Amino acid sequence: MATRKAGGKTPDPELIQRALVKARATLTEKGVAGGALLGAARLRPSVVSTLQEEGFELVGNKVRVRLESQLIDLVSSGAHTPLTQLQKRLSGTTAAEAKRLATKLTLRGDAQLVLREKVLTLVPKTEVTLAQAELKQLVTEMDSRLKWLKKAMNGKAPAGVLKADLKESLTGWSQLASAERSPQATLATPKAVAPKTNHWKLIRGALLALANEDTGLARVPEIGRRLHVESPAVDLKAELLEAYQNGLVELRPEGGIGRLSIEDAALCPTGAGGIPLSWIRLLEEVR
Amino acid sequence: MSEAFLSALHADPWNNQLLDLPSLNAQASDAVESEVAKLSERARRDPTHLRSMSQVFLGPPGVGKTHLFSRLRKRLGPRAVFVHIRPLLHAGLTPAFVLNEAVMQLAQASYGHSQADALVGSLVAHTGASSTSFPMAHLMDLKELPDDGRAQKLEEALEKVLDIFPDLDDVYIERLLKLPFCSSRERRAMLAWLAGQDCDPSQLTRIGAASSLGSEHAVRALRTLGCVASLGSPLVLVFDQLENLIQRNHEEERITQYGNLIAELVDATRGLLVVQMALDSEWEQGIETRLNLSQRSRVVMSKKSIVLPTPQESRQLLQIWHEEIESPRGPLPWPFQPSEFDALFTLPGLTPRMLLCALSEAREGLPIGLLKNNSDVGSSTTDLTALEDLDGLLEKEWNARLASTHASIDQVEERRGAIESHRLCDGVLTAASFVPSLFFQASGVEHIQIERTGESARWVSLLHQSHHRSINVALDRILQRDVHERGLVLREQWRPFSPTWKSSLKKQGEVLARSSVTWFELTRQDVALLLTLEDFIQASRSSDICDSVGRPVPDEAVRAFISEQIRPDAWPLLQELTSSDASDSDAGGEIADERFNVIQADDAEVPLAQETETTTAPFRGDDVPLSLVESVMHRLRVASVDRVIREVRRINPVYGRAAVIESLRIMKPAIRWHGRNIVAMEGSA
Repeated sequence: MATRKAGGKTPDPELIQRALVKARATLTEKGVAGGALLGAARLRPSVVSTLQEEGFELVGNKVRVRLESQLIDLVSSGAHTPLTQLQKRLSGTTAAEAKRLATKLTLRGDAQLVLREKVLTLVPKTEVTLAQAELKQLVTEMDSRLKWLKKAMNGKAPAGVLKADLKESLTGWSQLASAERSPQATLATPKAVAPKTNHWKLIRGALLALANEDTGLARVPEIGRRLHVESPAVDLKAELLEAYQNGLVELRPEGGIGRLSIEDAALCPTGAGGIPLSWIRLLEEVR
Repeated sequence: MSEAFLSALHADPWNNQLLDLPSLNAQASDAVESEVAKLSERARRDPTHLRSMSQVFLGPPGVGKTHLFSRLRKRLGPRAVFVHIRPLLHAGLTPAFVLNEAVMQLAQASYGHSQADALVGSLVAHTGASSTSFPMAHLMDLKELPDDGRAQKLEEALEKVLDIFPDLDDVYIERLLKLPFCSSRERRAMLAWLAGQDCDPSQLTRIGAASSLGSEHAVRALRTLGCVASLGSPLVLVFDQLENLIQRNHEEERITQYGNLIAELVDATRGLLVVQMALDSEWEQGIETRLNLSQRSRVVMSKKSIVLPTPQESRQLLQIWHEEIESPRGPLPWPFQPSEFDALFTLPGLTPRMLLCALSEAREGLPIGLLKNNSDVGSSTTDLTALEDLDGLLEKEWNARLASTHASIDQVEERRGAIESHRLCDGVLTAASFVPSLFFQASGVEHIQIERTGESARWVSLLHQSHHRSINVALDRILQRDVHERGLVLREQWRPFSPTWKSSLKKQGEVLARSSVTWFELTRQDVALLLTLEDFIQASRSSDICDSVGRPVPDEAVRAFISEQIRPDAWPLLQELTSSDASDSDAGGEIADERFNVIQADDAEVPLAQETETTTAPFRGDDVPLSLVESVMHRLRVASVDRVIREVRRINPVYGRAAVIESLRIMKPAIRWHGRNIVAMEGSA
């Protein structure tokens, strides 16, 4: 329904109420309101003081939703926000103020600051990260491995390294990356995926060769058939379940309707609810 | 929030109470978000070179594909407008169907705002050179303007859109822009027109239109809708459960049709994002391989898989759900036993749905089925023997879905609307697939051709139209058919022809006079059964019918349950279609007695009553006590049948339309019928 402008002068309290309604709507949607959105200049002090009483913040000539609430909302939504983008995601703030608040939240333990590529990023406190002490330990570990590789490369007699040794080192780091908690424990005693045999390398090779380039998914029966030709001794089901327990692969249940034959199902390990796990993906490709 | 989430094993795409773990599948939601951002940015900078995009997301049953839709609505709304489309089981996926779904979902409220409001608000913001980030504030400003001022602003917006996209339908845009400012009845009429539905005369008058849009304009309308949306809040069409495209004997044709539809949408519309979701095995082995290169380049621009939760994410999910439990007896692992809790996370292939089932079991103090049944099965699908009381499980699921369909039919009946014709047609085709001797082929929304072993072909015409002129056209088409061809005309019982539609009534009389044509009035119960069957089979095909531990029930088991327990072949409609050609002897266009041609619910007691006790009895409403109908009739004396039904249901809503009509029939001769719509107490009329 259209509104018509009143012929006479509208009393101030009504104008203040109207301005408040408009300002609240704008604050709810945009997070910040300023200028004409706070009503005529003569009414603005009253409007602003009411809004402040309601918990909004006055910054310069604008009113905004409390910056700390905005940032806590943003972080608790699960967003990973680069510090450089923080100002854009928050309303009515400057880059410097946003960064100051992000640091404050991090020190308080309500969020975490991580370095992704070259960018400092604010992430929720629930994300699993490596703390300073753990990072230090990791750097020491990596340094010692780097020295080992350099020594092999630059020694008087040129030497290589055993791939199995390299894999053992990398596995330790890979496990550290996929560990849920207490990363130090896994770092100290890296667990080899397949200490008995070198089967994991074969499986990984088959998986990489057969994986869909978009999704990274491969069919377990196809891997089984390929390995059966190349290396019949491999117990694929056991190896895959072990790789799953070590956090190296994602095993996915069959979702097709009558698409998995009984012979193919026999090549797949069984998962929750007894459903054949017919799809596999290397986790290093996804997460 | 209540603990209802524990029993909601299938995500409702329009549920606005989302329990979400944002970090789970953040890659997938980020991919859609970034595509929407790119489209918006490109639309602002260079709209004429804007292209549409497509994405495919794959995952096993219960991994959270539909949940992803709800999350995206929350994250991106109102910066994008979302439409959720499930393909039909048998009928083809046409532009008219997509348009209808898209427009009707514009009216959906998404986290506190109407999607249509968001679309128009952001468009006006864009044409007014403002930021499109806060469309609702712009809309509020527009609503505050006087009528003239608002009309002028909308006119300016229309002009600017047409400057950018001169080939769009200006009338369509004009009506679309008016949508947020309509009264509720105007809005309903406007939505029906925009969706390409057949509007009745009162709806057309209300919105000032001369005629309905017509299905032939669906592609242009979709193009207009997509382009207009791209300037503010891009349209995201989400095609879910695409495995339903695969149907025995028809999959080649249906997948080609789908490929062509998406290719046409991507080519003809600018700024549209088409998101497609399917079961991974079905897509990889059944759908993508059947698309030709040209279709594939448009349908599969990018492909991603939805990942299963890691043990850590599973714990976080349980924590989120645990917080929703009313008065918990302790922190996690409660309600699990500590040993069960730890064992759960060692299971490979654990989906969020299975996890929710496990929590539900633990909450009820039951042992965790997943741990109990985790033996090596080694078959391609769930072991049927492992499913205890399969029939009981399926019957419970069927009854729940039937109740939900009844609730939606209540809403349709209340506004005397039409059932969505595409779904109804699909329901008829699905029911017919349970009769081995019938081979059905849909050739449009309203026409189904039947081949029957050993007999001549038949046709079924679904008279879904609302406007008398459209009904006349459909009746003319029926009258043009060979008088020897046997056919069936279907019409919802609660939508009788108005007494003022004289030409339609005359044509109806001519149709009824043909001995080869049967007029079948679909009762509320008939429609509910057909729609529930369509929904049930669709869910089964998508592996969404699951047991108590979240394992999908095999499709063949579901079909066997339907065949043996629900018995579509015993439904009046199917019995009519499978009945032998009794009228062949007098076929040849002779005038037949109308009474033998009209099958009404209340006249259908012969086939139905025989089967009711053994098959469909649990699913049909109770009989209305005669005293109740009698008391209503004593009060009203003379009334339309609809009025009597309304009065009875006001007293007790459990009684259905068919039951009331049946009671009125039984009460003859105390009740006298005048035509098919008016009843009177004897001595009153």
